[in-house]
Amino acid sequence: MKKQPVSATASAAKSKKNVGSLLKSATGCLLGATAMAGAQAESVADGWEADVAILYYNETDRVSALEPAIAVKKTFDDESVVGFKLVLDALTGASANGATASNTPQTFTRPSGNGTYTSSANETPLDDTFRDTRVNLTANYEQPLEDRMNKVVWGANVSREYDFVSIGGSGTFLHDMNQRNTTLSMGFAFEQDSIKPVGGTPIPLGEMKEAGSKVRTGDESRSMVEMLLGVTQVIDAKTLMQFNYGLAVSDGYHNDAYKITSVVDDVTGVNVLSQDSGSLTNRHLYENRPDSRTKHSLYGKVKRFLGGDVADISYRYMWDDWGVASSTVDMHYRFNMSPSWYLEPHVRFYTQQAADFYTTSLTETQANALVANNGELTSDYRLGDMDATTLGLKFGFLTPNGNKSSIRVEYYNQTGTASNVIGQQNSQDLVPDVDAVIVQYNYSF
Amino acid sequence: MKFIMFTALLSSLLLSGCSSLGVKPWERDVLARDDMALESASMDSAFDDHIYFSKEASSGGKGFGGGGCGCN
Repeated sequence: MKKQPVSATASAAKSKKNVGSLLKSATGCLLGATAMAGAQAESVADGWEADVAILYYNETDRVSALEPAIAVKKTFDDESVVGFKLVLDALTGASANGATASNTPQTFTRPSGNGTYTSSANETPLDDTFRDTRVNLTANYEQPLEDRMNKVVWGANVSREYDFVSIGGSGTFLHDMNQRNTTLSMGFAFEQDSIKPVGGTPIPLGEMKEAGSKVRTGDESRSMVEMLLGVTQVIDAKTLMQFNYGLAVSDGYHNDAYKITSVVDDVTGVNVLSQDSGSLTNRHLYENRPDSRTKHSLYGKVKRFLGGDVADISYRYMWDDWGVASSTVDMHYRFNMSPSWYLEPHVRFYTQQAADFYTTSLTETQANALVANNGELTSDYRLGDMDATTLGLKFGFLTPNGNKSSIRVEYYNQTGTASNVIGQQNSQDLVPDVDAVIVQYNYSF
Repeated sequence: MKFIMFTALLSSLLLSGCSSLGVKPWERDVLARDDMALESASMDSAFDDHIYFSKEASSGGKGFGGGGCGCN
């Protein structure tokens, strides 16, 4: 049998999937084919492949999320591919507001400006009102060009949350060369975000006001353009490599409108009382990130077939003009136990250097100078020094009707490091670990 | 400017080296396996990107880094 050449980026034609009639109808609905009847609808849905998944994410004492997703795609006779994906994301739970633990109980105003929440002494303040639902729809079209050595992949993305709307698009050109052993790619993407914080946008470096006060501004926006250059290379009959360089430039509102910084005494580290009428008893400032960000990333990946198993190792180095620099190592090893099932351990190590303007808290002297100079500020631990580890295991199997199915369980740990620790803060766990469990089920048909 | 020149030089060296690598079309049976695709678990990968984008200060690398997410 004559073997078909395979592009380095596209893995080969996939075997035709079994599609249940009920699920075919669902796919047809997504295409707006509901009006078609009987055999006609059957023929439209024919050839569509679908992946459905549901993910559960749960942090100890903090956020939990439930995310169902469905992706469908069809490959046409001219090798063009069209695909759609819908993801829902329901989030609830508590989120760190950026303030530091204190030796006394603390009261904070809810993001809406209505009502308060309290944290106990020596506990990291968590805003327990965090609740959001996200809907994300993406569409992709892969378009082969005439000589079949080139193709273009177009993408579109719409995402909506209670306080955030995003639209984006992308176009990537891919060129195969060296008997399709090398693929070069160049892509561009844009994104436009609208940010509508609950209760209005707080004034950067302004103090958190007591409940009922409405010193807020209107909605904000942010735009981003990205470029991605890539090389994919077949090394030998069992090895693939990939290298990417990415550049992302964003402009506009980058603050997390719900994050604050505690102001403490220069010597004792005890919370400072606000002198501003209408503010909370203790002084807390809203963050003030730069209004632009330029990020670079270098990414490399090796994939190798080893005696029936598959090893997949990647490394990313990312840096930006905020002073953040990070390294990520990601490793999967798939043990193909038999043609019908496999086990895949996963290990990921991540380490990041803090943004230049990150501080766990501010002394009163630092706060006064920062406000006077309109300086940059965040106490969001996600921009601080951090190490993170993920350990996971995936079990994949074929269902009795021959469809792919898998379940994975992962454990994720973040360990942050506090900076600018003053006086009594030395006895506090200012940046406690975040532990999360991830469970995901996939089914393809 | 130096970075662009370095990248251009590295790219040309890589590409000239790449021309001697690779396989013939009939040697691709292993590379054609589903589990040897560069992105063999796209659903997992997309979920992971979203989680790490919302919990860490980094994004992108293997693909575009925008997340369409107000989480960070």
